[in-house]
Amino acid sequence: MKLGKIRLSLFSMMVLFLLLVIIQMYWIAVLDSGKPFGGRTSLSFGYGPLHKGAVLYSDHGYALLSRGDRLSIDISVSGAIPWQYYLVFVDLASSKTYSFNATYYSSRAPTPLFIAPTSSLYFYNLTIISGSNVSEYTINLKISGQQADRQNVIVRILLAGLTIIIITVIIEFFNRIIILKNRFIILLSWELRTLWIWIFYGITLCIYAIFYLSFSADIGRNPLVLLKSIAFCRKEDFFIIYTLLAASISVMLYTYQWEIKLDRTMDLLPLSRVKRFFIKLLLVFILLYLPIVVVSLLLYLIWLPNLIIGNPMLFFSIYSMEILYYLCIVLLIISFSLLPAIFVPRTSLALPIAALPSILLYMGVFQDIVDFDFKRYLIGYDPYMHIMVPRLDMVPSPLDLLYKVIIFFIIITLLSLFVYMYRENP
Amino acid sequence: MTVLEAINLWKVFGKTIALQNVTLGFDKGIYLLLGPNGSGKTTLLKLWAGLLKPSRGKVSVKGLNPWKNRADIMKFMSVEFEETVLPWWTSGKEYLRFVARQKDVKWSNVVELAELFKVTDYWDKIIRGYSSGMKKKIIILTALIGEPEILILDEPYTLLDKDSIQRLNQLLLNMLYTVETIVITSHIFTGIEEKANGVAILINGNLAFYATKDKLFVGKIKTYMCQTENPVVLAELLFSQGIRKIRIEEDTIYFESDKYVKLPNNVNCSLKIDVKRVYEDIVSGLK
Repeated sequence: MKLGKIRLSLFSMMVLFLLLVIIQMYWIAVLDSGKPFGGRTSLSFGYGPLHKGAVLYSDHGYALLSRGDRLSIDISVSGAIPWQYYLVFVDLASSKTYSFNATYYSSRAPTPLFIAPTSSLYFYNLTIISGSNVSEYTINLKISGQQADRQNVIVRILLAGLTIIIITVIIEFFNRIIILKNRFIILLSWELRTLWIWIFYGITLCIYAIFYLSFSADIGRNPLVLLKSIAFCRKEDFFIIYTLLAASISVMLYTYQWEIKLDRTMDLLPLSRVKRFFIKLLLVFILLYLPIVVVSLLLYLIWLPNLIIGNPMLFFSIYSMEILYYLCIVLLIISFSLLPAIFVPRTSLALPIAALPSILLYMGVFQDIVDFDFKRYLIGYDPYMHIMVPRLDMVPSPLDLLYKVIIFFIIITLLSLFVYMYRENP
Repeated sequence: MTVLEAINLWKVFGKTIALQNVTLGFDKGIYLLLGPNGSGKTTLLKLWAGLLKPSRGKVSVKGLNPWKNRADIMKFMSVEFEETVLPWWTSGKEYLRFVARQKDVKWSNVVELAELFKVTDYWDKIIRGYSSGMKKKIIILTALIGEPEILILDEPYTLLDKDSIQRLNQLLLNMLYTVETIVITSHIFTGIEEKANGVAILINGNLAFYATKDKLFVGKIKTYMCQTENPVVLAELLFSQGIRKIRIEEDTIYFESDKYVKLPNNVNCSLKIDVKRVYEDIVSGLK
């Protein structure tokens, strides 16, 4: 890669990239440092005449909680005193039920704090019943939570470490045992080794493992979603990191190799460009998507083994929806970075250009054109809410989105393939 | 069918005309493609290798369009470029193993060639630490393995030591039994030119000269090559017979004559194409 008169070696580029990632991580950390743990408030009005025993408020939701996480529901009711309060928590993994009933004679009362006994997916049902005949009432609801153990660095490191070990074993397995006869896998393995993609892989895994366990709950972050449960919340910022990773890997594989004429060396072998194009594409996809699949699976295994054992169907449904959600995002990111990576002949130019469309999408620049709030989708999608209470899930399902993304991805892939096939290699 | 062909070929890079209206065909045997730097030799080879698309005109390899059928052509053609980039993060052995797998070549054949060029002495080390000559041998090996039908070598002798040059030439001559066409571009005359079936010279993107062996031999003035222990004495003898174009290279003497020349019995002479003279004459004539 040439930057003016400075010739950057591959190693320098890797260091540069690593620095970019560190800056990005620092930026996200700074952004997050001032954020309170989520909460939600809502105001509910009612008009009578309502008789004694009428249900003033009833709703339910789902919360993925870690052991020790605290969930408090603070309510004040005026105009309907006395009022009765029914709260039920159900651990969906073990089907254990935790319930609380009380009658209050003042508008505000100290409601109990729910401390999750085990890490699991909880269903909660909240009902408020009028204790008198009223014509008008007001309910103030405030849900807040306190996370106990989620920022545990040890868990993150464990996850990252486990993921790297598992992926390494898988790749080495392919590399050493299966590849000997299969030329396609030989080439895939070769491309993987090319440009020390192992480093990218490690970075991807670590970043994902670090940022995945970010549990600032999104209650209150999205006011459009009514009674959104304390979420297994992801930060939308991971999209930026993935964008940078996708752009870097695509540019390294398609532009940099061409620029340094390594692509030409490969052109002198009996390998079709179509095959090489798809091998590189497969590699970009694997490097971006496989860590997500593995880390999220490991996360469930470590964090919620009781859910997997106790309710495997529920786990499978949640997990499959979750990886579909990420599939949509990864395909979108790759689509945006692919064409510039192949079309722009200089690495120094291709890298920012490949990252730019996704960043613009993140910033909502295309929101009006595509009539889709992508950032809301990034933040708002909850696989378990989607499965359990689809009516409450205000963002589209990955299943609804996937076919559109796949069509877009295929169009971009075909365009990119055309450019790649007819690119001269002087 | 002509093995390698270019018809009215043009290649333009922006405002630079790399090749203009070149028509050329190579059949079976060894062919030399000569020319000063920037004359378009490598561009022509890249067009035959399918790396570049002709701006105008046509190139073909055994009747196939290399731009459209590059991968198929590479199954029977091997190409080596002077500035081929090797994957520096791996060892020479691993790279050759990768190439052998892609070309479906037995590893034992690779080892045999590697031993001939003494590559096995260092091929376990990472390519990053190789000298230019060491890299060059690996590049040449990647082209030689796999018994190709067509072999294109761009400046193969550059950076090679004398011993390696001799081994390469010997190998190329042996390969002529299996290889249909060998095309060599070179600035260095190593002796292989004596076996050439044809010579093409490019100057500034134009084909300045092209002749096959037969045509070179039927010229009025013939070049003879004689080997003698005492070339100076022989040169004096030739001079006394009115021959003026005489060139001495170690124990070999070259001279041109269009008439019968009386030579001593102990001198072994043969008619040859003096490619070096042809090349120098053309280049100096253009100057």
